[in-house]
Amino acid sequence: MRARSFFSALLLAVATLVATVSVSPAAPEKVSGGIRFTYKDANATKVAWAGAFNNWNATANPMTKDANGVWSVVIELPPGEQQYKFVVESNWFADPENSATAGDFGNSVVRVGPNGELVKAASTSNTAYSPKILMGGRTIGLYQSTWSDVEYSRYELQRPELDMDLGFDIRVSDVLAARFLLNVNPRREDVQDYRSRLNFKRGSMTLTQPGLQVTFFDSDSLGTWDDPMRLVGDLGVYGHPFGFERSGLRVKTNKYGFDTEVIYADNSAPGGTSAPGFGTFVTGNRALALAADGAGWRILNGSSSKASATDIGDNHGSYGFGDGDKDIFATRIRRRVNDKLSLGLLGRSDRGYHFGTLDLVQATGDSTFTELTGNNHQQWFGGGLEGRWSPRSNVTVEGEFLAGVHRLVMSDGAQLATAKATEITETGITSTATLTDAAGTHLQADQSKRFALRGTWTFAQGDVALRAGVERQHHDYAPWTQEPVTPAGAPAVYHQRVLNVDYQRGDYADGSDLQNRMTEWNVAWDRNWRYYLGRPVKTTLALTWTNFRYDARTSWEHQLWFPNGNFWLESGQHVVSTGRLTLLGEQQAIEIRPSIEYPIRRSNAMTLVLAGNYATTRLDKKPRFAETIMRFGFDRSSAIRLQTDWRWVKYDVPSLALSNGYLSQFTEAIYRFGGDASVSLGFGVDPWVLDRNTNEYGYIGREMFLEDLNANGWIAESNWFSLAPQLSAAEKRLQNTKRIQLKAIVRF
Amino acid sequence: MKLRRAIALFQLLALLAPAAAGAATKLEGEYQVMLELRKTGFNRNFRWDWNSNEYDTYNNAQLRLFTTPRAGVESFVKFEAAYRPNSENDGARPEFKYREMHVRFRKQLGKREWDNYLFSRQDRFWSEPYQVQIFDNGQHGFRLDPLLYGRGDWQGVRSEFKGEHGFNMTLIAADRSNQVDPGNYSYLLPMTPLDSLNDAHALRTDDLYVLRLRRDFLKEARLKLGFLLTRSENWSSADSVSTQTGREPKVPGRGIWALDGHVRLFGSDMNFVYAEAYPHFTLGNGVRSELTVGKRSTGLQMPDAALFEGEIRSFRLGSSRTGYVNVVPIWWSRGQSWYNPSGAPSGNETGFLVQSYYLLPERAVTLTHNFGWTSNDLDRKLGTRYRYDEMYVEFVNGFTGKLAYRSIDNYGYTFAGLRRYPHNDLITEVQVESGLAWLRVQAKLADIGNPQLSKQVFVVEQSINVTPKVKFFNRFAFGNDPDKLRKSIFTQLKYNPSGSMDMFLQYGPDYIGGGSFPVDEGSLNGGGDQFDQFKFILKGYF
Repeated sequence: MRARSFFSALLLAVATLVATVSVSPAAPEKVSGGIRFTYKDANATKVAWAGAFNNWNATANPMTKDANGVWSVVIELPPGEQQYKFVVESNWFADPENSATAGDFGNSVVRVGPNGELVKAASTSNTAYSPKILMGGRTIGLYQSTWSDVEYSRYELQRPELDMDLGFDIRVSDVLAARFLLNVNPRREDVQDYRSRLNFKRGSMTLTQPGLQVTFFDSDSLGTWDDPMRLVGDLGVYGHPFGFERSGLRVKTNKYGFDTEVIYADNSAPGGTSAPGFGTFVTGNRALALAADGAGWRILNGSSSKASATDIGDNHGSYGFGDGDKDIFATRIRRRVNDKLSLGLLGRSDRGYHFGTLDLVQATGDSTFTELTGNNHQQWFGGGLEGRWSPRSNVTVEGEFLAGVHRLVMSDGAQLATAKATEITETGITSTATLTDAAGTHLQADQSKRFALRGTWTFAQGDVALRAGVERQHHDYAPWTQEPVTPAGAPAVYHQRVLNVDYQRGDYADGSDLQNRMTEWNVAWDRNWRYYLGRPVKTTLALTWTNFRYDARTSWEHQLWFPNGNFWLESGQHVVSTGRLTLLGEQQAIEIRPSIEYPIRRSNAMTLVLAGNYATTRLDKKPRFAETIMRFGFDRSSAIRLQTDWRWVKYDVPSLALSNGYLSQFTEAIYRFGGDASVSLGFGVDPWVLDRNTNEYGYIGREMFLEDLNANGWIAESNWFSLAPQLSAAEKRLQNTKRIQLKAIVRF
Repeated sequence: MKLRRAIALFQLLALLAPAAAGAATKLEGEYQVMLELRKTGFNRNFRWDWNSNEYDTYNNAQLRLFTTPRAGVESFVKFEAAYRPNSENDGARPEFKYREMHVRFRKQLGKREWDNYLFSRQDRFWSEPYQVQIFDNGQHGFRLDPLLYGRGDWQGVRSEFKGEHGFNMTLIAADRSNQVDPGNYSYLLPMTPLDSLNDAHALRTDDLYVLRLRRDFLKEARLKLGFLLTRSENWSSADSVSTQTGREPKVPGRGIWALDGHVRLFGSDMNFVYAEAYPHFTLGNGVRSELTVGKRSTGLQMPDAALFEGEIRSFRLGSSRTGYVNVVPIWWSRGQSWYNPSGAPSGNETGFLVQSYYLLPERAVTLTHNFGWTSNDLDRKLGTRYRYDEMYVEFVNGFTGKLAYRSIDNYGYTFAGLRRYPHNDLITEVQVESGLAWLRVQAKLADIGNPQLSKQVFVVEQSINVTPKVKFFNRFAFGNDPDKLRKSIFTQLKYNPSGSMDMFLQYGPDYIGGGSFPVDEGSLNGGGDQFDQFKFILKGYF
């Protein structure tokens, strides 16, 4: 019985061995007599090599099988690119051992040199399952335990974040390439873990023809334009390239001596680009101003009233998110005049964001007025010139001038009432009106001009770079867009009820535009001290001086500290850094940013970096915000790196009663398994965090930490007096947060 | 033990023996980007809105993994990016999710073949028609609606065996797994294992079983006999879910059985089907179906849960000199208790249809005449009369023409008594095709003589092969309603630079008149009207 069992087991083992033992096939290789191709399939009965070389003849070059089930053939191929496939029975397969493919059908390709040797070709596939797909991705696991003293004094394990990207780079054909990215992140998706899906994050297809490239993109990065003022890109406070959460197309050509780029995009994400949008207009109810003279009451000519129900965010998503159907059109035409000079024309128009309703009453005489009512959307359009001059290889001067208009466009159904008062009393106006269709009517909100001139001069073998630049902005706001303020010394006026506009006090009546100006000067000095110190010690000293000149009537929300609706910086991005928060409302803002990077020991990459950010109103005054960052790290071994990042900040803002200093740090030990995998154990608040838009790590962690705790421009804009306690509380929280963190990153 | 050794030997031989085909796994897919510019429409805030990534303007990605690890074995699974359906469609981005799959085992031994599918979200219910096609209920096989979002929501097993003499046996067992969303009833199932019987009972979904047998008899298969048995377990609506009883059966174990025959005599096929629904529930007053010839009763009666259909396909009258008239008569009767729980058609109907066509000798002219009648078994006056006459002419140089008259009279009662509701349509078509272009002009005078409903519908379609890679297509459609002249213009430029990609640039809504016979399309006969829309579509296949 046992012998029989043993025999049966032996048979099974032999069967298994026959099924599994084999010699691995190899990529095409140069051998005596030509190129050797191999294909493994023990079950196949017939395999042949077919390619352009033999006119794709499926029988001309049969392959032979060895005992391991590996089929092979040696073919003497002429120099040049040779496409081929294996014909297995009657099915055609690309060579699974060759990662280079070409053609519409995913043929394998080898490049043969003049001496018959193989020349390495770029990989277009890394899976034997498809000759057209390169797969890759990365996984990040973030496990944090934070000390909580809110209810209990103990460490709390936060919900871990596991983020996985799975990307496909696809060579559809010789002229069309595609890529898309899938992502899993239950925490970002804000669902229970088991409900998380494999989300289709982004994708694009690029069609390439001679002199023409068209990219069709769906929330995929298109990059940032390199004109001085970055008309496209620089998205938000972290300067993302253009394309995220947008869908559309980009056309690039370089024909007839012109480099032309055209972008037409739609904001495809409900709610805009992962950041809240702010309305340009202040909501509220106003009434026309009246004045009394000997003849009775009359309307104050030039006065206006505005009652906007909701100026922002009633399209897609909730209040505060208003970029639902925004369309973006941008174009740039650049021509190189000669080797030293290039000139360009560029323009951009955005429309459709901040949908809302408007009820605008404007006096046109002492007894006549108009009332415009209906839905509307906003529109930006503008453009200008740019130029780049390089008189010498180490000197570059670039300039740009842009002019733009921000206006409000009435939608279908909007009406204009032209009214004449038949009776005016202190408490009311009786009128007759004629109605006309007002769809498409434009109302100008902001007319702006912007100018920038920048230069760079490098010398001493590139060790010294001097940078300087100036930028000037002019903004003219129509008075009706502003929250009315009674001018100083103006006579008391009364405000009457017109139609459904509520009675309210406060107005100004001169009707002139509000003119706001901003000038920003930048100078910077970059120095590499390798010649003097024998090691590449790098220093930078950068100074930015900004001068604001506001019309006295300008409301707080319209000051240029808050770049609302300024399409040069992408609408909806609320860009006010922590340092600038301490300077709000001042005429002068000076920011000094020195830094030094000192490589202490080259053998173990021991480096010390000191960087500062000091914000003040005058050079002879103490900085209101003084931030110093110190980064230090070294390799303990080839696998282990230790590094720490400290931040010390000192506030000195008398108007906010802020005078404290705060210290925070992050220290971590990283174990590297190689270039593609690492695990780190850290303590503190990590300045490197996963960026919501790009899915990559960025050095923005502390800014996001403070912003999350309400130390941000929102609070400053809506409630200036609560900014100090919010800043103080957020900084204290940052200083006192004890967090243990385990972070693992694997790229594949 | 002998058995184990035999199995081991068999395994070894199977592994050593060369297989019919090599093992292969392929990852394929497609990616589509669609952009749209629309002037008006729903949920658009301004004119000429550039839009993307909505239900009617979507970017789709698909991955398909197909593997044949051994000869006769294949596995297929498909994933695609799509928005969450219905109420869950609140995601900003599409999600990559499971679409469908199957595993197939196929074995061929001489003339015998065994083919098996384990399928999920695929509608593998096709079976030979157990009833012949009729004009008004032209449904073959099973109609298993409603499908979830137009896709299959069943999964199960389909096993098919083919033997000698045309023997064919099909077995299908399937579960309508998507009928109930377990997530909505999670409170019922607090702590249960994956294969919980309690779960399965509380959230049970409809089941369907199908057995189909067929065999050829006599020389040249002049006789074919078939048998069909279905059984459907339908459960009541999910609203009645309770912890104690689960989903109560609505009608347990209902189905039909059917016998069908196909006889070839004198060059004609005679087909018949006799079927009964089970179990037998008497509906209404229990009136049994009468067998009639035309409207005349024969005095014979059928069980009220039975279906009978007969067809001759076809018999010819005439000679080579006079030409032949080919006639296909069909007669059917479905008793008032006839009920097919897994699909259509419904009971309580008797009718006939005579289809005939005549090829004029030495003339490229075909005349078609169809005439039919259906009536309610309880009241023979209630029914529908159908008539269709057509002249089809083949001209020279690829031109063809068609002139048809269609008359459908529906009968119903009003306060004034029985009333006829006539629908008379005149349809004409001219078509020409060559290697370079194709043109079709269709016109329909619909509901002639009815001032409330009458309309004229015109469609002109043309397709031009500008180059081997560029095709230009136009469709102009007009619907002249009593109170409005509607129009539709659809223009499409298709560029196919290679076999792995397609590009489309198109203007206008593509669905108005977008079917195989445009003047009969619902949107054109209804209220479909033009709006300004440009679409660009780029598809890549890899």
